[in-house]
Amino acid sequence: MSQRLLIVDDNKMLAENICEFLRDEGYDVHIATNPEDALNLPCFDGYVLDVRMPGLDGWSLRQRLVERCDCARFVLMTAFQDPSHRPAGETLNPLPKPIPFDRLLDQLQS
Amino acid sequence: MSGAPANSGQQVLIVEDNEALAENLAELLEPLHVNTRIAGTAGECERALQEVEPAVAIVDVSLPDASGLDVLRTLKTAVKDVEVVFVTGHGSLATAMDAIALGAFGYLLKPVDPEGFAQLVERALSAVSLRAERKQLARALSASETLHRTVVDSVDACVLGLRDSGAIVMANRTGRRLFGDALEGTPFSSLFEGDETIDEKLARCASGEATEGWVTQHGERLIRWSLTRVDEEPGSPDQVAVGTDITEQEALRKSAAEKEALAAVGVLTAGLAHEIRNPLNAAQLQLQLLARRSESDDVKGRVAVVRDELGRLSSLLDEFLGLARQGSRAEAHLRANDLFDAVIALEAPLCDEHGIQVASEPNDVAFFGESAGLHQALINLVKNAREALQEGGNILLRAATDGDHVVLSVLDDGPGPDTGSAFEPFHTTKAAGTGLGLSVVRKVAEAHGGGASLEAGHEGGAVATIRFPLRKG
Repeated sequence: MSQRLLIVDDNKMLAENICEFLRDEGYDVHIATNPEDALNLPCFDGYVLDVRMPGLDGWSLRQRLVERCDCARFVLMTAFQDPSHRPAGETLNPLPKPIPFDRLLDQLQS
Repeated sequence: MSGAPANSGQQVLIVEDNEALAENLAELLEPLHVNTRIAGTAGECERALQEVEPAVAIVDVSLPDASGLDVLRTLKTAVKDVEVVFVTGHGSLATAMDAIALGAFGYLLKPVDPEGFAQLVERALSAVSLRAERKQLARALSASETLHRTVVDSVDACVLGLRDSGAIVMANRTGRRLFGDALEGTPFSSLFEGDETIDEKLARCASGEATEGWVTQHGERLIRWSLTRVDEEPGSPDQVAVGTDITEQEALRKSAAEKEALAAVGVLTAGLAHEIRNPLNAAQLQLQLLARRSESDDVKGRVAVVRDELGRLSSLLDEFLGLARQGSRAEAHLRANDLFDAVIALEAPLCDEHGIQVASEPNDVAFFGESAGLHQALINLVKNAREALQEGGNILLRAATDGDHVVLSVLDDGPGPDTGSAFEPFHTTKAAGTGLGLSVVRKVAEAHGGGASLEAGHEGGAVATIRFPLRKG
């Protein structure tokens, strides 16, 4: 059975682009444009989260999701690369936007 | 004259051994409303001087215990401004004449003529009060002059008094500090090295026309001048030139205007960048999909070209954002390791593609600074090194403290630096460069109170360095 992924990005067009690519790669991909929606859906195997979103940012959303779905994989992506946008104590480096597909696959499969 | 006589209340000392005559003289002075005191001898006179300060003394030339001249000296020593009138018999007229030579006011011959006596004493009293008045006036005048001179001197502007001819007749302290001590007598126009419009301005001001302010440069200083016509009064200059030093003010105004412009560009760019980045991202994702789904090498090749071009647009956007961001800075406690990790995470994949290794040296350098700016600066330096290396090589990120400075370096083992005006905006020798990258680096370094440099490395290659004062917050 293929892995279920959820892309959370308030920019619907970008989310759909990534979705299309990941479906090509054989994933079962869903989209949420509102971070709150992600919390109301059942757990996925992996999440691709935009860092900067209105309401709940990607880092906080990941924190909330980890509490519920502890074996899920997470990939964060952002256009703002400098470390001041990264919460203290966080070591994960988000992928830059536009997201390089090769590295996205690497992170989902590692 | 009505009311009290002018000399009322002044002290008169009568030194006369003839008691009857002394009292007689005192009585003659009653209409003058002066205070009188009688001393019978030179010794009594000395005691009296302990208690009173006579304006006028009437002295008998021949006293039992001293000569009139001795008494004159005693009186003048005790009371500097006292006037002395001698009373003398015919026999001692010569002494009285000597006394006049020594500074006595006048003399009376015995028997004393009452009217002449009163008039002489009155004149002596007037002389004393006139002198006192003059002294007080002089003191007041000098105080007033000191007051004005102090005020004019303490003004933090150059104040010059001028004749209509242009000759400087007076300069205050700031004027002398700016233009030298020997200003009086020199022409005003000599301060402007032959600027012909100065005499025109003087003439306009002399004819009562309003003169607009003008700015001149004197060495490093910028001075704003104004000319004012002075109402004619004896001793006053015809015109006053006031020069205000506006060097700092002008520098502040310029830097504020620059900051404002940068902030405006920053806001504009940030908004524009957001609008541009989204379609750019979408286009790049679509191209990635297209490349993956296509079987044709020709299509893949063309897609790669378009992707590269879009990538250039994207980095131009980043660099321009970096340049514009200098208007608004948010500072924080930073660790060099965090900055390096983020830079390497972003740059490593691109470096990998070209067989370039990028790494950082472990360090514990921590400081206060602006994260976004330094991140962009380091990205630009790594990008610069990557483009210099082209295919294969090593890039090393190094942080150190040097005294009270932070030194962040990017080292490569490429062909060495392209220096010159590398840090000027839009300077580039690379086909792919925008020329903005290193000017952003310099701007960021300067915003941290430091500078940036690009030099040849000790063992070949290039070393790009950002150096700024260490602050702990």
